[in-house]
Amino acid sequence: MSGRDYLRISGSPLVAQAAIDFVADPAHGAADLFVGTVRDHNLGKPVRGVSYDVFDGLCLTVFRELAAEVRARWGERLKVYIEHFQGRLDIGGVSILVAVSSPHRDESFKACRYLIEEIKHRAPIWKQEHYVDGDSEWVQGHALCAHGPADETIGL
Amino acid sequence: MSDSPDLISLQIRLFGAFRSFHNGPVQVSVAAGSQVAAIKAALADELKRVNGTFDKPALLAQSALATDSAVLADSDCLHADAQLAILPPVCGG
Repeated sequence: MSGRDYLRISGSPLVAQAAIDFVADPAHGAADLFVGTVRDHNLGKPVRGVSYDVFDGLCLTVFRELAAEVRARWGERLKVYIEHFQGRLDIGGVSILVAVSSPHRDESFKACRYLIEEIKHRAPIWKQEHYVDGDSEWVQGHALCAHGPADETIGL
Repeated sequence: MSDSPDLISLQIRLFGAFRSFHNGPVQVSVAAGSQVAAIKAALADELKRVNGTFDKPALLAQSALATDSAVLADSDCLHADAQLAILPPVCGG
């Protein structure tokens, strides 16, 4: 991990301030932070928690690729923080933090949005929702394939 | 001299929905040079052996095989023992 990247899978509670502190840089006038949290419903079913399963080794490889991609697209000076939770969270728990800082705001907005969208499509992470009625279900997702950036659909 | 192909041994970790059937990993043997489709077929057989309720051809078809560092393409061949993972469709974030 370079000094400009913090990329981690964690079983401990994620702390947004840590992401903001990491990307802080006196030469940067902008920082964006995305916080993903567990919501209390999905597809009409009341949810009481979510368990996250992660293939750590490959996931960190994908995070490194993504950090390189945003630097190639929006500048070498970007600082990048990606941390994903592994384990079970209750409603409101923080599942992911993505933060990016850059000299100007346009780059950090775009890079932060790119990172979270690509993580959803490419990082080997799975959610098992636990419902109020006691049932649990693995959430349908995006099939992986053996190539780089997933798509151009987010229009950045 | 035997005409049977050399066999390789693959240890396959299970993630996501596959954990509902077995917490893994599972071990399969396939012919050296096998491609992803043959490995998935062997995995399906092994999952049925360890859990008779496994019957998820669509899940297996949508899933990818991977090493610790890369997702395998359908055309990739394995020639030696390896540790792999079977990755159902992902939904992080």
